[in-house]
Amino acid sequence: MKVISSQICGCIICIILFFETNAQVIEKLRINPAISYGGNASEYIKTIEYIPLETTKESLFGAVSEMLITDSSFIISDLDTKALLFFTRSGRFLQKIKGKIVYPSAWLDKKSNTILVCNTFPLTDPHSIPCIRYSLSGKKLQSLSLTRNELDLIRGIDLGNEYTVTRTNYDLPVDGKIKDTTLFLISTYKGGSLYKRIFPFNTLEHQLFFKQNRSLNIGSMSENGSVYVVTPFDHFLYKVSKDKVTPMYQFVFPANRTLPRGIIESKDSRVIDSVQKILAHDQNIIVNVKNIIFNGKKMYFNAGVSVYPYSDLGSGGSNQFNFIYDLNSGKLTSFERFTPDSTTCYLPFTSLRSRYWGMDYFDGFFYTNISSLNIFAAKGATKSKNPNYPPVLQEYFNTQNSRSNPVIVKMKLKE
Amino acid sequence: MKKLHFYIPAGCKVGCHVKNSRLSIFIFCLLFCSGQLYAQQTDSLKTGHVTGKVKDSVYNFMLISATVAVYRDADSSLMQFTLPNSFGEFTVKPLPLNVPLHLVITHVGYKPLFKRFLLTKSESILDFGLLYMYQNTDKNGNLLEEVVVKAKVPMRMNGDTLEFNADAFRLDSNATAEDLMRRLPGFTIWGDGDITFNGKKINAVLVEGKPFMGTSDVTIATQNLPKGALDKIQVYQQRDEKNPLDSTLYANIKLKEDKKTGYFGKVSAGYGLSNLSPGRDKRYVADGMLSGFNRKMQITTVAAGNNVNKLASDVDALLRNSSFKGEGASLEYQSNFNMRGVNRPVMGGVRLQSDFIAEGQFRGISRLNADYFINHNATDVIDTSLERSLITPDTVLSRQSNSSSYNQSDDQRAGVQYERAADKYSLNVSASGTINEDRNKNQSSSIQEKTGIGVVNKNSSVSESRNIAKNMQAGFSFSRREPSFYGNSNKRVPTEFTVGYTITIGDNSGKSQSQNNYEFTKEPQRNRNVSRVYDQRNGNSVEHKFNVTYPRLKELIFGRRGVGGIDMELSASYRLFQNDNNDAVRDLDTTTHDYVPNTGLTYSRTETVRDFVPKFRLSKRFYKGLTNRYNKYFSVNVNAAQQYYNYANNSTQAIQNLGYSYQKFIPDASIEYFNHQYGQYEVKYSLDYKTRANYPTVWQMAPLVDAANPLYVPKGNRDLKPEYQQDVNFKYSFTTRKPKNPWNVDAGITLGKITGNIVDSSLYDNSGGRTVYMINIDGNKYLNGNVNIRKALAINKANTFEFGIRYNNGLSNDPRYIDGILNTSVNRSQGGGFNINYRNKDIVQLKLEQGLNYNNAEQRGFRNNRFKSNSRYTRAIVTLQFPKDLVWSSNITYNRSVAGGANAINFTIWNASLTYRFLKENQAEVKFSALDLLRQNKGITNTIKGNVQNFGYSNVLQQYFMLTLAYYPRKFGK
Repeated sequence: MKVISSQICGCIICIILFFETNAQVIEKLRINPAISYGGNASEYIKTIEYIPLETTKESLFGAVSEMLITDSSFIISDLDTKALLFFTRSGRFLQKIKGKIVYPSAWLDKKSNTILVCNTFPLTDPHSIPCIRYSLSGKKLQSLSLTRNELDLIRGIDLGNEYTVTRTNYDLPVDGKIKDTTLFLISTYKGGSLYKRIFPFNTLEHQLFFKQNRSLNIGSMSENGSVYVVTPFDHFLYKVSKDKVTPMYQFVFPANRTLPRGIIESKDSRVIDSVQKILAHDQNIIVNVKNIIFNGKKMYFNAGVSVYPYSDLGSGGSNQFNFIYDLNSGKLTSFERFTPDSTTCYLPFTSLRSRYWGMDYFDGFFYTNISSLNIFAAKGATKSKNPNYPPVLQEYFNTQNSRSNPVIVKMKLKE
Repeated sequence: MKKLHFYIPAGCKVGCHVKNSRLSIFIFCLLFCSGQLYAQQTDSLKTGHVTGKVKDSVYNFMLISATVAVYRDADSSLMQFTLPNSFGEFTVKPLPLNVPLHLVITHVGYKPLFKRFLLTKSESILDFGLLYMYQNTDKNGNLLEEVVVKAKVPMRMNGDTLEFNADAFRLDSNATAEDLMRRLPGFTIWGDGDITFNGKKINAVLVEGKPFMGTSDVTIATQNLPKGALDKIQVYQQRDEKNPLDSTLYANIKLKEDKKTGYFGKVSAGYGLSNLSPGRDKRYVADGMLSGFNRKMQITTVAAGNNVNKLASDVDALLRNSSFKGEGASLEYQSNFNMRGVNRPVMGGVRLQSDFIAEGQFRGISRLNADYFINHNATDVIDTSLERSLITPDTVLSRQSNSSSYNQSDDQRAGVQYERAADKYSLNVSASGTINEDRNKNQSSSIQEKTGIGVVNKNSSVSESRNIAKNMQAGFSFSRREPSFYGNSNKRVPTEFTVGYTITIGDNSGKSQSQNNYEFTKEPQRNRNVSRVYDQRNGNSVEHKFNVTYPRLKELIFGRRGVGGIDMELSASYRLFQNDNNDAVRDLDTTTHDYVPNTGLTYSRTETVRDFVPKFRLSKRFYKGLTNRYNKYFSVNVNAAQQYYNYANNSTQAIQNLGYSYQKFIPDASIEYFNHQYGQYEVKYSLDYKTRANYPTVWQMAPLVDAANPLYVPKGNRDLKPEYQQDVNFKYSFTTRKPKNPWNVDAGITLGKITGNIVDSSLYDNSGGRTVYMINIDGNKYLNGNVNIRKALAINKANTFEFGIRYNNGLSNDPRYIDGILNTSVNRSQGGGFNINYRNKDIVQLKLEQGLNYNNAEQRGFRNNRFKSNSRYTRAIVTLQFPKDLVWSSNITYNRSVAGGANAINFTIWNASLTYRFLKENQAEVKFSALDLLRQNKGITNTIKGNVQNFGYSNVLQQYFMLTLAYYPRKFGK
């Protein structure tokens, strides 16, 4: 009896220890972008579609700064013309919105299935943010004012069952000195009411995070009632539901692509200021991982730097940014190492923007955009390959030129 | 006509006769010969090429950043190289047939790939197919640090920098950085010194990240640094988020680790004769330059002396023309045959640059520059001139003058400048001083005639003077600016400002003596003979200048509100100038034979100027850009400035006690439009309006009359007002932005007028004496225009052309009174020219230039009588390097000058030289030069101003022959 009791106690202790240990150990995913796989586009891309955006005098714009995808439209924010442009999913121009908006940003209000455009920069009064509501085709519906909280709710991610998850923005004090406080980086709401605040971070212990980023990237969509967030610099991946935050993995990058732990956790403001200056010019240091998408055994993500890769030359061309990671085999594949082939009509399908911002994802498809300048340059360089352009592209090449609007690329990847 | 042989290049089978205007035949010879040279190098019908694809052996992706190069087996010289396209495919061509070659493919982090091959006539195209490259890993599969690749990678991307590996390019052992740059793909070195990369101008060429030898002149680095000391030539592309096609370029020369210290220099001496006949003068030239550098300091010393009119104004000019590469086709440091007299300059200088902090720190500079230059010159000038003044429609006053003078000047200049720049501020502190000592001896005589009368007066004079002027200036400029990185709150009061102060102290002392004799043929009672001594002509001055600028006035008043996007700036400048002059004059009393004080010209005076200008500036910029398409802006600037000007003169000569104060509104405004169409062109238009006031001096208001000079009697005018000048300038500039064969156009028009122009009103007496009253007069207007077009054409890598056309036109109305009659002199001038430059690698350089100038002055008050003159020149410059160490150089200029109805004066200046380099690294040079071979040089003066035309001759440097020896000491590394 004594022996059995002690054995049972031993098992119980082991079981407790087992779960304790498991609760503390987070699996590390060792990601070395330099040894990611590539290949021909056809090995990875199941379908690809080029959607030229209609170019008229009114619809002509500079570049896609932000893109919102709905069931029926593309809504594009362009900083050059300071406009929001609405196109159908086939690229036909619908509407252009210009006005007093300094920095055009649009959000899909899922409840009303409308588009909300708000003037959030500069934010002069957080209790009364001027907004305009539009239909999905760009028709103005109403002008209204929202509080910051209301806007955060709309910008939040729907988890289902009336739950919404939002991120908390940290306001840096006027004097630049961070005060000791604990901030909950995630808030969940039920209906319009606050449900819970989760994911506490002490500001003094994470000074670099609060000075550089100030909030978490919570993505643009949820999956089974959760979203995926990655903390900057130390790259811990968490699954966030309405109640809790569950650590999943830690992305570990090579030493030359990441900041040392001592720097990340530094409390010396001079060190942090110095690091921020370095990050402002360094194209190699991975600062945040975002756009996490799980698809079966595969995980898609973007490893971002803080400097826009301005050209294909140098690090912008030799570094990799968008990845497919096989959770079973550990195989890492990079979009930047795919070679265009007949599937893509030998045309490019990733751009500088997709490297920095990541690719958009909607309803099982990845979206990027390519400038007409690059498309026409690629067309000229690949004549000898006799590509077989689909009718849409044939029409595009016959009627447009290198100064036309960008082309949306819609891709479905192989399982 | 002579048949001249020694300049004919070897191999040229045509005997070349040179007549003044038959330069084309001479040029044709060289082109024919150079064409043969080029033809021998490559035959495009007998070449092949190789193709392939490069792929990573493990990770299944194409290596689009690899470098693919083909070398000759025998000597590993680089034949061609390329980068793969976005599919990993490459083609290397043209490659010679029947020559053993090897292909080397390199990529950061990979083991190089080698393939030997031979192309033949039957197999001139070789497809390597898919070539796999293997990562550089250790036995455990870990990636190794990049190892030194034995094969010399010609080109690669290192981060955002394009790097060319100097060792990969095989050049002559004495090649310089400039020779290497000519061979690099994409680089073009233009005749005017610009360097472009893929059509885009390189803003600066740095060495180890710093300006080289304290100068922005790129040739100092590129023509002196040996290719063997170079590790890499880097090209930086400054980022432009909106368009990857558009960027600002800088080039940086990185030296090999063991070559970061060194010295280079030149020592030369030449001796020659003025001509080949008895009684000839001796000629000499001596030059020295020694420059040294290490990681933190650079110092250069220069010295030169000659008696052949080779002048340089600063250290840069001597440094530039002592380069290891030689003078090439540059005429900058050659004997100046236009200069009056035979000059005997002795010059020297030192420059130092020291950096206190390492480069690479963002916005961090701490640099000290110091320099010293001394210039001594002595010259004997003999002038003969005819001055014609139209004083009535039918009357011309002509003065025939002859003079001889000896001038000696000693100028010294020293300066030091410290520059410190960091994130939040920049500071510039400088100090400089000059000492100028002039000695002059002059002897002259003149005869003046008047239409219908004949000779009216004669004058002769002898004078001697000595003057020393010292000047010291010190100042600083401090700017505070906002930090450059994120996180800085903009809620505070903006604290950007700039403040500057300069003090200038001058000290002038002089003495002179003169003897003048005046003889009036019709009025002998006015004859004068004056002997004069200036015991002193001294002056001391102090000038203080303050300026302050506050650029963020809008934010201070309106906070962060937009205010229509208009920026406001407040600035002010204040100048305080005080000048003390003392003249002591004595004239010889012919009765007592003693020198007695001239109370009319002896004085002490103090002059004070206070000039305060506050300025308020409004500016707005409209910007429109479309990524990948265009970038446009339109800016408007308006400055409202009020000038408070106060002048006071207190003198022992009572008539010169005067003063005045004025307040003048002196606004200016400008608008500018800029349109950059990416990948196509860039155009800029600007229009600006400027105003300024020019204030009368004491010598205009109350001059002291020299009673001993009856030919010139100034009367002054105490009621003179300031003149007010306004002009409008329009400028246009167009440049193509395509990678090849750029061209650009610059044009401008200036339209202006001077209200209340201060001019002289002259009354002439029957004996040619002139009494001058200063007056304000309206009606002075001017219009100038110019256009300049430049085009470059690179036929292939070896042959480049440059073309240029220029035209300028000027028109001015200059009214003044002559003998009570208002005469407006309408002056028209037109000029222009064209030039063609041709270059075949380093072997042949050819320049052709043609220039023309026409001047016409019409006197509207005098029945439109005119003065006319014109001049033109045609020039050809040829430089030929053949065989390797022998440089043949020749430049010939035909000049023609016509004034009024006189016969045209033609002369041709032809210079030629033969230079041979010898010793192990071409460090020694012997040069034979023949200058003004045709011995025709003439110093012509041909000007028209208002109603006065001046035409004359001066003695000038003429023919001489010289043999020069030079040695170029140089060492790079320990």
